[in-house]
Amino acid sequence: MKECHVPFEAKWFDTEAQTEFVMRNMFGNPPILEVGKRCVSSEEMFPGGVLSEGIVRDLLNVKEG
Amino acid sequence: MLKRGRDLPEGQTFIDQFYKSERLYKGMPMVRTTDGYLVEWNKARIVEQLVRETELAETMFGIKPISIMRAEKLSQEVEKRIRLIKPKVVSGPMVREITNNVLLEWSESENAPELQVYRNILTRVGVPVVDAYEIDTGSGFEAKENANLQPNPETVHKKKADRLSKEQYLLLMDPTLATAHHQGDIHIHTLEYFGSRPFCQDWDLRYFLYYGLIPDGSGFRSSVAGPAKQPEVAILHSVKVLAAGQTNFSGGQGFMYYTMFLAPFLRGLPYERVKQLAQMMFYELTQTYVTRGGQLVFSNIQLPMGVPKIWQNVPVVMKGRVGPDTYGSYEDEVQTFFRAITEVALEGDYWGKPFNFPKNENYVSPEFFKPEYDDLWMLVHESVSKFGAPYFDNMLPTYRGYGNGISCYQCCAYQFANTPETDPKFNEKLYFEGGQHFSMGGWQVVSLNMPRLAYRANGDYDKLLEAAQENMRMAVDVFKTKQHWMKKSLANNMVPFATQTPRDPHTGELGPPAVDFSELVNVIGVVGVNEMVQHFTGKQLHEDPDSVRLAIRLLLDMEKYRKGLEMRNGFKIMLARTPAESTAQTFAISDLVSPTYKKYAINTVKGDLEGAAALVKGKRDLPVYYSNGTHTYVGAKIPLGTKIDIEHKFFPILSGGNIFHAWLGEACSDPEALYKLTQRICRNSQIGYFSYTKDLTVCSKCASTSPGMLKMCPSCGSENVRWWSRITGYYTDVTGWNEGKRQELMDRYRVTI
Repeated sequence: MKECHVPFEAKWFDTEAQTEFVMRNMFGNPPILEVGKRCVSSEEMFPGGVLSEGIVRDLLNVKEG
Repeated sequence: MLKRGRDLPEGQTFIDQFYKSERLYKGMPMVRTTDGYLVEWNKARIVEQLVRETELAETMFGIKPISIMRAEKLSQEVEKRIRLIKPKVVSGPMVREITNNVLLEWSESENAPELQVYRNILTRVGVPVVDAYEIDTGSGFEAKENANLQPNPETVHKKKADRLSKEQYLLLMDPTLATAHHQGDIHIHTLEYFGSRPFCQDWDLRYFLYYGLIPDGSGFRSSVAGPAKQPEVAILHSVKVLAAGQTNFSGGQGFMYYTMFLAPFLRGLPYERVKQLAQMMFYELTQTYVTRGGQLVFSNIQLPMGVPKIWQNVPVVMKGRVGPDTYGSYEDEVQTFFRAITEVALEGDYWGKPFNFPKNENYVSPEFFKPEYDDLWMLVHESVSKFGAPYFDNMLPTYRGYGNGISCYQCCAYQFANTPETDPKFNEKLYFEGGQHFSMGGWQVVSLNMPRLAYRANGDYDKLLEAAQENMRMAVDVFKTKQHWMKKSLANNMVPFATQTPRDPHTGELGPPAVDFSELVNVIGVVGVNEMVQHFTGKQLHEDPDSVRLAIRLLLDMEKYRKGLEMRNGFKIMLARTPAESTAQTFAISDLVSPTYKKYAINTVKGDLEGAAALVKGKRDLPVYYSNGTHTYVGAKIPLGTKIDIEHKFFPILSGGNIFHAWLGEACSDPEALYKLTQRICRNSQIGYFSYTKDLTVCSKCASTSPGMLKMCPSCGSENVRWWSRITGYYTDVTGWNEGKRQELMDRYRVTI
């Protein structure tokens, strides 16, 4: 995100934060990327244990390059 | 020493003879022993007994036995007190209780807690004669504590033994834990078996298909069967494994992958024969009326309708051999067996009522939740429509870890899993190398009274969490106590079926033990989360999202704490919803009778509080309860979708298991609509285990079963009817339910689908 100059804020995945995700029916594990009302969990961002930049870019609506 | 019954001079009683003896004039009475003898007073006997019996303090608590000097001092005090009351005769139990009383007094006055431990060890356990009589006649002690227990002579015997065992185990436990159980902070489940058995077990049937069946574990007291070669024998062995398992465990017994492991026996059989085998299995399990006090085998079978991917290339185990075929080549037989089991379940028994056991756990996984399996799923939902009976073990949510390992729901709704990450021998077990096999189950369950945590916290979240953690630590101490005690039982070969090591049919070498006790899980259960949030926030789970938020936050914090406890203690611990068939009522009553908590409980306890007025007369089976686990209040008039949206959130948190109930109304639901609902639940929610419950009326006059709870049989008009429904995790006759559960049955808000 730094490379793409996307401003972001990192928050601890503490119980309160996790509670809010569960309240929104988001049950994945951290890191969770939240953009507006949309969010993706580590399971979706790291399929097979490798970061899928496409998924992140798609969520951020950032064009490649 | 004189024995009772000896001839006496005319007109003289046996006691009179001793009144006249010079021994009486020494100032001490004769002692009537428990086994019926009259013996001279001799305080040295008290000393001997104190020294001998308090050796148990060292075994159980690591406390040294009483010293001879202290025992002598104590015996002098006892003698002094008996001399003062001048009885004509004293009984052994009376001497014992005076001794115990002195121990308790000195424990306090001398600030010597070990004396209380000695007292706990020296005291007697048992029941007053009237209580024993009441048990004989079907009332009294815990008459409705377990609805699976039948009114019969075996149950009478079990109840008397239960009463004694429960007292014994609490007396031999750290008094803090015993008090927490007595006073309703925690509930130690199946306490009657605490020192003698683990809780529940989900068996790997391949073990018995390879090694054969030794029901007594040693082979010297029962016949020994080699590995089954015929399908009938394989099915009968499976039934007997569960029945034998019940004699070694206190909870339910089940099989993982039942349809798959037996499928190889069915190759080439006509469908009618396969169905006959399925019918035999149902009748054997629901007519084998012998386990634990004459109850039915509390059993469940996991039912995949095909071969899950992980098993496709795994060699088949049957007839004492491994391979050469693989399970993947028996896809058709698995489907056929699944269909046969479901059709038999749909037909029900001779009276047309559902088979209450085994609990059919329909296995919902990605491979089998496709249109090509629709006809089988429709058959399942016809059964749901008719009886509501089967369960759905939903592997689709990510937290179930499907594809990476194996997982099952078992007993009343406990979840167990085994993966390569959690078990270094996973692959050996998967491939049955050297007889290695899966062994999943529970050691012990301890439930926490969640509403009471809120009563203690007084609106302060930190205090709420602190109280929860304190009770979790107590639960862990209970687990440690059990493991410590069970080590001795296991070492003395007192759990022989589970610890058996049969010989390999080819090499003659001893195989691995049937159960790997290090794999068993300790379960911390929650009861009454709805009432906890109700007290804390003023609103129940269905009334305000903030209540749901509080429950989630607390359970997440408890889950984190659980992980720490697990790491620190080195054994498996899970957080779960407990079935709480009687605990939901026990906790409610504990709080209603508590001087500290009753003012709060009266506003949160569910059920008929007016009916609970009998509390003051000492009655304890009353129509009140707390909500089970993390469930919404059963009477909450909310749409099913709302109930799902609230309750599914807790499933990923409760790693040890949970259940979702859909209470159906009287009308027969459309199987297709039910199937669509099942698809929605499985695909769009986190619910890992659920069931539909339909109330039934069974008529013994015309042998028919009708939907709903009716006062009269709609077929013949007879009033000789009984209601059947799901008490917590299983179906049974409502007359066996405790008053709390019966009230809950009346309060359930039912939906029409």
